[in-house]
Amino acid sequence: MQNFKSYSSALLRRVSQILNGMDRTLKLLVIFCIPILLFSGHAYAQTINVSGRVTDQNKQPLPGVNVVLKESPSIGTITEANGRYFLDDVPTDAILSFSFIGFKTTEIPVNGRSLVDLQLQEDITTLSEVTVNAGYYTVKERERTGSISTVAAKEIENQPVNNVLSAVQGRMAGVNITQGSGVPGGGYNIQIRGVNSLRRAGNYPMYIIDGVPVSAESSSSLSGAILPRGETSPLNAINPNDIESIEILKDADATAIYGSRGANGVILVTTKKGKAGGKTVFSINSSYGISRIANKMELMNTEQYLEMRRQAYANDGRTDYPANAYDVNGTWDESRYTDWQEELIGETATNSNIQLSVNGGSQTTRFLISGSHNEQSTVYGKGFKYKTNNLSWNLNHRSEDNKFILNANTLFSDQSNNLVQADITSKTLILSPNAPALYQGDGSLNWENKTFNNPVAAYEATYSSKVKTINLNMNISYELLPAVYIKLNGGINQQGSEELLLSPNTKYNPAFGITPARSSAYKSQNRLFSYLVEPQMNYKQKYGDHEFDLLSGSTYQQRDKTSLQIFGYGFESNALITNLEAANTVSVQNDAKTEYRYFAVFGRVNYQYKKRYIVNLTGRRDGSSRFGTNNRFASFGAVGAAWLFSEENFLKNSTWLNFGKLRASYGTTGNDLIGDYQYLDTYTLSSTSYGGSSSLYPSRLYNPYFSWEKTTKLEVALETGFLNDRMHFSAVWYRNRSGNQLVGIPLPATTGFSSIQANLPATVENKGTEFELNTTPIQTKDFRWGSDLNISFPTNKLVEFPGIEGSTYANSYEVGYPVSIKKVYNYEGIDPETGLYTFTDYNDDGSITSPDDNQVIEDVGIKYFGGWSNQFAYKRWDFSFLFQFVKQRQSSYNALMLNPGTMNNQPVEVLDVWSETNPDGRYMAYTSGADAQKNKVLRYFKNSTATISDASFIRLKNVQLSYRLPVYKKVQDIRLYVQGQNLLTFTDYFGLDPEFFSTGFLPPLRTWSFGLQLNF
Amino acid sequence: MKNIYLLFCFGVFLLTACEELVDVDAPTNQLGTEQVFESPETANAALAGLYADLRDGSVITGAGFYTAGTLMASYTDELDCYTNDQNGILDISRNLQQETNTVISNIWNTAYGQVYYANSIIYGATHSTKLSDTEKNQITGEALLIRSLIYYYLQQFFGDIPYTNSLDYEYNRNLTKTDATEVLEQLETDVTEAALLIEDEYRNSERIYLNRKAAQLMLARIYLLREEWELAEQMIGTIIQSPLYEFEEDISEVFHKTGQHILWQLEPENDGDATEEASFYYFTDAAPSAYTLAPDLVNSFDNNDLRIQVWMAEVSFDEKSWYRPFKYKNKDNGSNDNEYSVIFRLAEPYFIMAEALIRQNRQNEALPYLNAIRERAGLTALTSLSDEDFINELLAEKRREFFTEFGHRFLDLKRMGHLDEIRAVKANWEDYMQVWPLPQNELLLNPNLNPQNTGY
Repeated sequence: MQNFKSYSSALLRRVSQILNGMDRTLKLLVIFCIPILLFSGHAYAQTINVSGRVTDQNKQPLPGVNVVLKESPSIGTITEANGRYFLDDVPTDAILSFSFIGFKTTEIPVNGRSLVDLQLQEDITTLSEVTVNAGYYTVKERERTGSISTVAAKEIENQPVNNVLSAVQGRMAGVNITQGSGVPGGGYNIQIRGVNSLRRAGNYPMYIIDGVPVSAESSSSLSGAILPRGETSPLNAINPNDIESIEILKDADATAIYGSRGANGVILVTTKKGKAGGKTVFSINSSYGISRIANKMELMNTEQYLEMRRQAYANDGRTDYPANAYDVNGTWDESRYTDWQEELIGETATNSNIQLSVNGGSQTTRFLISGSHNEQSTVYGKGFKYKTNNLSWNLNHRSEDNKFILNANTLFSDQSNNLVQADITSKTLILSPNAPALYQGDGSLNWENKTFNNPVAAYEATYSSKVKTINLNMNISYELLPAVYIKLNGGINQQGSEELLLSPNTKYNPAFGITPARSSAYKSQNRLFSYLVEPQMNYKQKYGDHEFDLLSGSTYQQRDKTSLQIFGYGFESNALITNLEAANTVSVQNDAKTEYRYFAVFGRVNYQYKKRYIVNLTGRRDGSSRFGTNNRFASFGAVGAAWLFSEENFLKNSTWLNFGKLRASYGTTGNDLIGDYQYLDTYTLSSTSYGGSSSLYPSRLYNPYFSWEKTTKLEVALETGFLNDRMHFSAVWYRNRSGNQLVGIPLPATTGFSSIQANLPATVENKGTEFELNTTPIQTKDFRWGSDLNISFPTNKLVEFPGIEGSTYANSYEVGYPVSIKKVYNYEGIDPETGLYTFTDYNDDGSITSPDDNQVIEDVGIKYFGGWSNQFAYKRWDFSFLFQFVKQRQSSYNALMLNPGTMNNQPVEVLDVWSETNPDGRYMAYTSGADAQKNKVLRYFKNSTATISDASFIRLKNVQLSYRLPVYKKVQDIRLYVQGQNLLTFTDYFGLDPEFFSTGFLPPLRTWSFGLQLNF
Repeated sequence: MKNIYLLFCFGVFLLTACEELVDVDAPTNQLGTEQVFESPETANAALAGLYADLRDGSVITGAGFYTAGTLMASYTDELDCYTNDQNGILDISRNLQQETNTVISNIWNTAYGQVYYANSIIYGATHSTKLSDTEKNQITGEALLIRSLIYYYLQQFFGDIPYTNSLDYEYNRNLTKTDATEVLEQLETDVTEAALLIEDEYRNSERIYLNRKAAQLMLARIYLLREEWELAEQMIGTIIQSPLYEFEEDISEVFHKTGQHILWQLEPENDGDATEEASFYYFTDAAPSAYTLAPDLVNSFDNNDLRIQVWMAEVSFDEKSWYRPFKYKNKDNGSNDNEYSVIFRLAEPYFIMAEALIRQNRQNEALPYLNAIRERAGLTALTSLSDEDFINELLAEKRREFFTEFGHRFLDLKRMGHLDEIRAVKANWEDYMQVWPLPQNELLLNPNLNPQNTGY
């Protein structure tokens, strides 16, 4: 009887649905017929038991597929690990609905059969089904009014990367990611639609992992010499294979609900959840990879180098070589040659990874537990290693009546990194090629009679870190009243890190007679504890053609950070160096506790009319402890709208266009990334002391009046789907304007400080277009080819800067130009008379001076970038590749070059030197450093147009090939795969690698990896 | 409808956000500025920080790449530089300094940072309602004297310089240059005031804080610059006659911290820490890679001069040899039990006295001061000579006495107009180099500081 009730109520619903779609006469007729239908419903409600097997196109079983009665979706089951399902008491005329993420939902009438097998068709886009995580709410892809880029697990799985950001490079329009270094455990520079803030630290996006915000600012304080800017990435703490999807929120509609923290975009990371399959599935995934530097610079060999050196002295008119010119004065063997890049950064780094996971559960309760271990060595060799352990579990439960939903996640990560203290990559480019051997016969360091500053000695100085992160999240939802849901999102993020920077005396040349009494060690500890509570209420209702979705909520976040840094100096022996108790002198460098409090209320109103016209209003009122009492609160909001024109009658039955949407949004977001307590007038306790008294120093110039940076975002977009979703095209135009710039305004030193925190009445505009084209050119039973292209054309402009002429920024910025400009001297070539570099003397005063003569504005930014990926699936084979391309200008090696002729090796390009017989020579005649004129013009040269060049590149970012073995007995799935990362780079860039954000560091590596994935 | 009402209530509840929710406790490592000057302990901690700053990273730090002691010695004729880098250190040694020189901008920036620091202490102490007048005078006076010392070096290195006693950054960012003579007048006023505020008696028996006599020595330096010989003589007189001081006869005791000839010295941070002077110049059994004493300086010593054995050390390597400064002996942290960095010592008042007297044509009175220095070094006393020769002897003696100490050589040559003499050993030397260029960044950030010093 229960069955009958639910069936008839389902029927009633169905009827009312049908009614809505009919004209009046028809309605009358139908209403008249209802009793008959009801009766007939009862009459035919005979039931049978149905079972069957669901497979994919490759006839592989599909576990976890939802099988429900179309008429009564609460009745149903989920396929087991072998793809089988069993449903009892199914009406013989029922229609079964099979749905599974990534596949087309398929409906099959039972027609009295007891065996219903099905091969589900993979769905590339399935726009109508896919929902997108927008943070506080989810939205169906087709109904979305904001700009959200998504990358799913499928695209990033198994890549030989430590950080998911490496895997998503080139995959998302409008998101430009630059890897800082090829050293594991480092940071990334992420620009979501360009640079908004004039402060570098003001350009971090907001990271949210499973609903819990994590700090984008790095807690590392001692890694500056090995990791660019001393930055790590908050996503280092997550195994990329644990990630289900990454969503990046870009426009006002999507980010305004994050208010004061949304200006630079929001990165949402969602980890994998348990899949119900009836059966418990164990998975093992293991891979091994090898990495090498992707590119070496071609440098002078010994013969060329020594010729350069001798010529340099000859040019300077010196015949006797100075005592310390060991390379040419006969001290060092002049027939030696060492490729220092190979010798010092040419080791093969290995990367091994193993992950074990188990998932399973029932229809109402599911779980996933995953543990992994990763080890990666470096190209420096010497046992430097980065190790991570990740453990995560997830539990979700829904009550029988679907009213209560609970989802709990725990992510634990343990990273330990052991590296050389300072990157020696740039050193490998300048070491004399005839410098002596690194080691003596007995394996000890060779100082060549104290004439050689052995670069390997640098390895004696190490940096190591241990970081433990726990991210807990709990999300509870309850349907309090029909269509009214109360929710609670809460989370805890805890991070503890310990760093150790060791400088034993052995790093110095023994010539200095330095003993362990001058060995030193820094130890730094950072603890970060943050919790978040977000009560929310959600109301969804539909009145005829009108649909409402209302959300309101509030956020309270507290973040406490403690940091302690201790310096120990002088040890009896280096064996004791890691324990500061053994230091002769110990001083506390920093002992600080900072608090951050954040409170906000937010809301969303979404209104849809006829599923065709959609308006989305979002807003937030924020309060942050980072501002003075008068400026603590501010409001942000946005309006977004979409028109699904393909639903209009004139297009509804179009054969070629199956989806079309126009959308637009406008609103404001803010930025509070300015550090804590900057509004206070204080003295800070210093680590130094004098006369036995501890000491205090003025913290900063006092200004309590600064407030938020605001970014106003405008976007218009067109999204279309053609030929039955075989082709998707979207075009976006956006314009973001960031005003009220909160900057450390550079001040002359006469103020006592280099800058003051204040709002600057300047506006930075980021404007651009983004295009995405997703196609499936071939789709047959056995073969599928998908091809996706995205390309973004960002422009950046300083639109407004009242009073820039008199301001401190006059030399760095120019109104009407991007904020990434450099003002440089105009290089004119080599003067045939003097043989010196010449530059345009704009003010005709006879000498080259700044700022009058460095007037050429060079944009060192990006013109366009994107990615082109292709996926091929043939029977059991999968193959894909991704090309990343960036069109940009950057500083070349010319900007870093040391004076050619000094005791530093040079690229072979420097052989092309000017002389009377070679008047087209590229570089000025060599000097040993004694020629004042040359030193002077070289300095201008390094700050001239000659150093800015094209640094565009096309990179074969990723190649994957995988093969699924035929299943054997209990094993459900075995997959073998090969992956390659950064395999090829096409570039004309003069330098080690065109991808960098801070020069002098090891570029990203080229990696091959092999792996095996097993599910049973 | 009920649902919507409920939702509305919920929203209103949330919107009544309390300000308290975003209140935070003060950071544990910071103290409100007013609070700092509410007790003598914290106010003196602020002053201690300034002393520590002088010791660790200022123009009068004992030795180092950014100190007057080392840089000016290599800029003139006392030190040879062997660093193999391309930054500004070598350029200064070669007299190739440009406005972009990072060492010069570093000196400028830290000096003005310390000027602000001192100004902040002076303001805090004078406006304090809790400190006693004695406490105020001591703190203000010492800070004022430190600020004057910094300004003195800035003026000597850069010529016309911006002078400020304000904390207001809007004012300080637009400063114009003050004429060198005006700066000196201002400094005279400031140091005179400082001398009134602080006592003769040392705050600490180890003489690690400034006293009135130190202020009077500063005044004497200023009077020399302004050629007010009588005033200089008078000031120095009060120092020499003071019972606090006694001329040290033993050359090997000059840099020992207990000396009664010391006017002011800086104590290393921790017990037993080495001075910068001891550790910075040290090298052994190798070719030099930083600084050595210039052969021209070494050769200027008489063979009998005790200072060769006591204040210099010879390093031989590969059949060559060099000398390094060795005034301070204890180079290792933990093993230094008798050396502090001596900033002001009685030898200087002796030289100033000699200079002030000879300028007043009182050679007979001047000679004993010069001879005291000579005799301590094991040299014979000078007898009557021409005034010009006396001046030359005084300059040469001061070079031998104060080599690598706080830029004395440069300051003396400049004051007496003898800088061009160093061209004999410094091929690139030009007259305009008696001042450094103002840092380029500074001119860009504050165009009011234009024009650049002549020659750059």
